[in-house]
Amino acid sequence: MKKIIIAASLLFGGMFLVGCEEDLTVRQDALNAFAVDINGSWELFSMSRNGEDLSGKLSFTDYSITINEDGTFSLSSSSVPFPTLKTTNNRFSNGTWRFDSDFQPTEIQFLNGSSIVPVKLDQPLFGTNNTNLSIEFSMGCGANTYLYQFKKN
Amino acid sequence: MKRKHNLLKKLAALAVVLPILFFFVTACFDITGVSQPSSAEAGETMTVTVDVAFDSENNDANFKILLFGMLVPKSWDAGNNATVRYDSDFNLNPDQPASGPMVFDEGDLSFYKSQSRGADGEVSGNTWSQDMEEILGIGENYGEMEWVAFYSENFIDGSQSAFEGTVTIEIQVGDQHSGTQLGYFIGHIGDGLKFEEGGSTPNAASRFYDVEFTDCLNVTGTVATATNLCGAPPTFTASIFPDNYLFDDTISIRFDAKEGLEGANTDLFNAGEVFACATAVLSDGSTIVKCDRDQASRMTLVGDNIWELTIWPPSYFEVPEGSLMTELQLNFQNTDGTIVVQNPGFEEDMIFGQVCN
Repeated sequence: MKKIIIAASLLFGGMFLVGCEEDLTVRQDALNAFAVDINGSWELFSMSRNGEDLSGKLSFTDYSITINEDGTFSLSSSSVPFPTLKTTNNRFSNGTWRFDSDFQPTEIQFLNGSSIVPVKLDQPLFGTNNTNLSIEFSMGCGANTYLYQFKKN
Repeated sequence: MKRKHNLLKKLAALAVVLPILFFFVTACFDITGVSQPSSAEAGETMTVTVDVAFDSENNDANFKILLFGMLVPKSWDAGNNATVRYDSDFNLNPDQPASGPMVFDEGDLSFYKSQSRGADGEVSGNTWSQDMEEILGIGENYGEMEWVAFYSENFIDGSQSAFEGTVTIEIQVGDQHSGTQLGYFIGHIGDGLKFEEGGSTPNAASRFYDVEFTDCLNVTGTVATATNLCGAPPTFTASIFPDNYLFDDTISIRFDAKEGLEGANTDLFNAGEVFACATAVLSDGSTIVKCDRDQASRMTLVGDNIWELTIWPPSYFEVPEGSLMTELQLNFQNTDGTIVVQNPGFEEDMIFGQVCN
């Protein structure tokens, strides 16, 4: 009887060991770190202020931001609010950009001369093949937060 | 021995009661002049002198506690930022001179000096600040003001006398308001805000105190969000959302055509279309007017006679590079501009400064 119990225990434990080995399978690319790529043209499709949808209240049709591989960027218009266009700073609608971290960025910094304007990433980005870009920032009073959502053109 | 003891007890009682009785003795105060600058810089310490004439009106007006009040914007925090003292050459009793410092009234009603006496001369149960606001008002200011009270640290002996003195106030000017009307009160805590029975208003002839409101003080160097308390009051006819905003924000202008003068509808009630006529005031004093009744200024009906327009001011007004917008002035018009709604009760546009708390 004792032998039967030992044999059953070994068999039961062995099943777990086999299961663990199968779960440990990891995709090879998950272990690689990619520099995040957001190069391209991004079209604004959603704008909100403190959670209130401003679509239909403020015109931003065909508004886009172009982010280039050479580290430059440009806004398609300076009539749509964007943190680089605050009147309290030197206003610019093109310049250079960079992440705060190439691999796990939490913000994009837009630069022109000595001006640096950071905006927060609302959603984490993939290494490649990003199709959505969401940024969060304040324009004037710090009590107000704006969320812009772009899709890749 | 027992008779001597009783005499001592009576003397002790008199010593307590007499000063209190003297509080009720009639006496007159008059403000004969106020020396206050016409303008001041925010942050500076402004000195104001109030000339006072006192007349005991042939009474034994000893044991007087001088009471001084000042109407100031709440944001000035006068309790912490003002010092007050009184001075006079009069010196009937060297132990009770007509000169000395005054103490800010904290409003502790358990302390006899803080117990206000209202229009009937009786203890009202309120603080001096509350009764001063109730009885004296807040001048031409539309709000945001408070009366702060100070009382003399020591008793003053003004028995059977008439003399003149000066109250000197040193106060730090706040930066939240570009204009305000200040006020000054002088009296004593025995009569407080009393005026003669039968008088329905505290006119100068019947009251036991004096009050003076000065011309509006112009304050320079204020914050961008500063408001002029001497100007038109805020209105519910128009409002801006969100509540906190700078002119770099995207703002929503809301017009309620039901909110006219004293609750009546405005002339744009049930209008088919409403346009915002907006003026941006820039930091250099120049203005940019957008009053074309065009598509960009057409408001959207969002409720019962409530219209809304969302704009980003730098783009809407095409604010030039290097300029800052400091004020937004608004009126609302119908399609052909024959009906114009301004600030109800005032023939001027509704004015909005930046608010960011």
